[in-house]
Amino acid sequence: MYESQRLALKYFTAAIALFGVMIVAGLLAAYYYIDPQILYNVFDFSTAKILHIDVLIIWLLMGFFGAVYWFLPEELGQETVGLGVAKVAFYVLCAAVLVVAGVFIFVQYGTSDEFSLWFINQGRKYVEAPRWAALGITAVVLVFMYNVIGTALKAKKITGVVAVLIVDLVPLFALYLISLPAITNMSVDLYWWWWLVHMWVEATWEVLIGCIMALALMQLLGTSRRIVETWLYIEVALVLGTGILGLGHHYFWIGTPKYWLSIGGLFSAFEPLPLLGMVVHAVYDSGVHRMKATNRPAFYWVMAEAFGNFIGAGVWGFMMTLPQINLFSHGTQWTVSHGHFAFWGAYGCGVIAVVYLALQKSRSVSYMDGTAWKWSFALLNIGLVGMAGALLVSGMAQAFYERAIGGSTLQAFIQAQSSPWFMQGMYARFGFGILFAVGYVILVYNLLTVGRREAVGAAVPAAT
Amino acid sequence: MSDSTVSDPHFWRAGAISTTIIMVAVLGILTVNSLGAIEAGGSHVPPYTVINHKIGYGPALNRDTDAPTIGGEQLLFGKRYTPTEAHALIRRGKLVIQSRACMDCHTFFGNGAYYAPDLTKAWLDPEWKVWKAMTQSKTRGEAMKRFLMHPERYPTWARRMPNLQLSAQEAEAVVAYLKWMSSVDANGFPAHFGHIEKND
Amino acid sequence: MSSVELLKTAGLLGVLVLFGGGYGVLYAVGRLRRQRSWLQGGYACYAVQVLIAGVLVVTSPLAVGWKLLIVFSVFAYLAIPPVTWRYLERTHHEEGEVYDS
Repeated sequence: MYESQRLALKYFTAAIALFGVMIVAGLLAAYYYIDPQILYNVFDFSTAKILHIDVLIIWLLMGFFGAVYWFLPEELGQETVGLGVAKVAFYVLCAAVLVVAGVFIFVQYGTSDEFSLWFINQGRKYVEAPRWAALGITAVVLVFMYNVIGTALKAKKITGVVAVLIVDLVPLFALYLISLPAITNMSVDLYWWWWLVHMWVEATWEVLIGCIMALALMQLLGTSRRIVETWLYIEVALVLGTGILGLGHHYFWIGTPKYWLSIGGLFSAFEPLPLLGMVVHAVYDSGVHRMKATNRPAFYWVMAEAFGNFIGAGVWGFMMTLPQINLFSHGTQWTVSHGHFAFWGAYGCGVIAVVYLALQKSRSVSYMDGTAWKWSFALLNIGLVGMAGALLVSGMAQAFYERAIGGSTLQAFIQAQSSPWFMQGMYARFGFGILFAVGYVILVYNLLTVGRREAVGAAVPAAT
Repeated sequence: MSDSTVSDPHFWRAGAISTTIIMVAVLGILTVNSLGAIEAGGSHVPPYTVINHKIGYGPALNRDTDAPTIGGEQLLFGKRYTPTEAHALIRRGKLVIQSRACMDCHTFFGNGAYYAPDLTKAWLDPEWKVWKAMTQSKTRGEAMKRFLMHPERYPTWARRMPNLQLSAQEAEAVVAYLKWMSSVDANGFPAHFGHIEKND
Repeated sequence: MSSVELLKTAGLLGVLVLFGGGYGVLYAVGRLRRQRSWLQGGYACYAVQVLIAGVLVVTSPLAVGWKLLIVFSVFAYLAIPPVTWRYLERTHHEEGEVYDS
């Protein structure tokens, strides 16, 4: 095993641990809707929410880093360059996450000055981490880029996948710098903030997970490089072709000119089309290569990625992307429903697939299967779909009662939040959240134990 | 397109590169235009001194949604702010909003968290009439300021706003921020503000 | 848009894409297994998608431009699965990876 792959396993461990922290914070955040009296003025909803969404970003990023550190040396036939610095960066990142989380939990907020922004809370969604930590994350990303580019240079080799990865890392890094300034004008603040958030999760992250899936498929199914690279380029063209101006679907209501309603609506309406192609491709792979798949959980999680992405981002997104609908749905639980489903389908499933692939190799399992992974797969996916469905009910109720009927005032908000459909959705979401959490516990158990005992890893494949 | 071209990864690589370049270029042009419109004093976003004026919201020519209106003088906290003072006050307001992570309970232009109400048109909310009485305030600004400084004294409903230790100056800055923000033309967001749907 | 129209239109838009996905999946399974029944299921899904698009075009309060977008999308949904499949088969064939059911 390459040293880089040992570092990858560390990143995966941290990622899966933070996945658990995200779930705990999420369950707490969900519970406030059911019992708003808990922990009033001691630990409020905002703190739980910050932990939930910031840890989401960090665990997924750690998963991506782990995946690249895992695949890179084999892809280039060369140990990753700069691993000493990379290992330090990993521990620094973990320590920073702990400190930032500790400050969020125990200090929570400061006064309205630069000190608060530098050391306590920047208060911009997903990038609440204080500036010192944001700079730290920037440094870690730079180390990561150095590792990738340095390895390609040393190997004097660059594959198509690695080339796409390197080119993608440049905007990924540059966009993160938007987390640093404090902009007075909310319209301008949100204009740039959406460059960071949208161009991360609907552009550069899509390309990044595309590269990771390309590397994973070559290993999982033995697909030829030429095929994988062709499809990666097609995916990049379609995703960026629709997603770059699809950014406009965040510019409907922030004070920007009206032409964004047409441009944003049009391009984001096209965004599901490449995802349909991905689903067809996934079915093709499942049939054609099924005989060659030696890692059943990884294979199933890759399939979940394609379908989850199409339904969570495509179907759910299309429901609410036209401006005539979005006027009512924007900033409601409908958005939350879409966000949960899309993040899971597009990224969560992919990271889990890669972890199983890495474990197969690190534990030398010729054929990875078992029972526990099926339970966690079922519970996590049923839990997630259940949450998204419950939030959809609440969100539609909110759009209906608060916005369409009630006129979007404070009273309308209160009435909608108290309505039976809304509240039932909140209860159901919490219930499915518990299911999801149980699925997570089984996932952890499975990841810790799979392949370690003879019986589990020794199942004979149906055919080779 | 010949068979060999379509099967060649380099063809698709060229496609990916050219598509990206074109889209980024268009986005760049639109960004320059949009930033001009949304800077304070631009076509969609009033200057910060709008806090010295009465802000309304109603039907507008050639629009299928309501739009903000800026009327005559209506001073905030009895003071007429110069452009520099207004900018400093609004800047402070934004620092309060960020340092207290308001966006992690509330939404601004619909962005943020969904536990607490959207604040885009909070300055114009009809509820403040009631709150003026509840907080024993003469003006809307005063009512908002009192609420923000001691939200625990004025329970809203089952969900209550926590006390975030706002000083009087910080509370005034936030109120100014919300007044300015309500004057931004958000293309009709939030939907049907202030209008209740009639049942046919 | 009224409150009821809102939910109806949004629901139909989501279901439009869902049936497009259903068509894609069933079409792909049908080509994989070389069984007409799956392909027919796929075409049935597509027929439902066309029906939903028709309902949206005729009854929804969307402006003309958006209705045209829906019509165009429905044509794109028709083409994407067979074009994708054909290209998948060709690229794999060229690499010597042929599927024998």
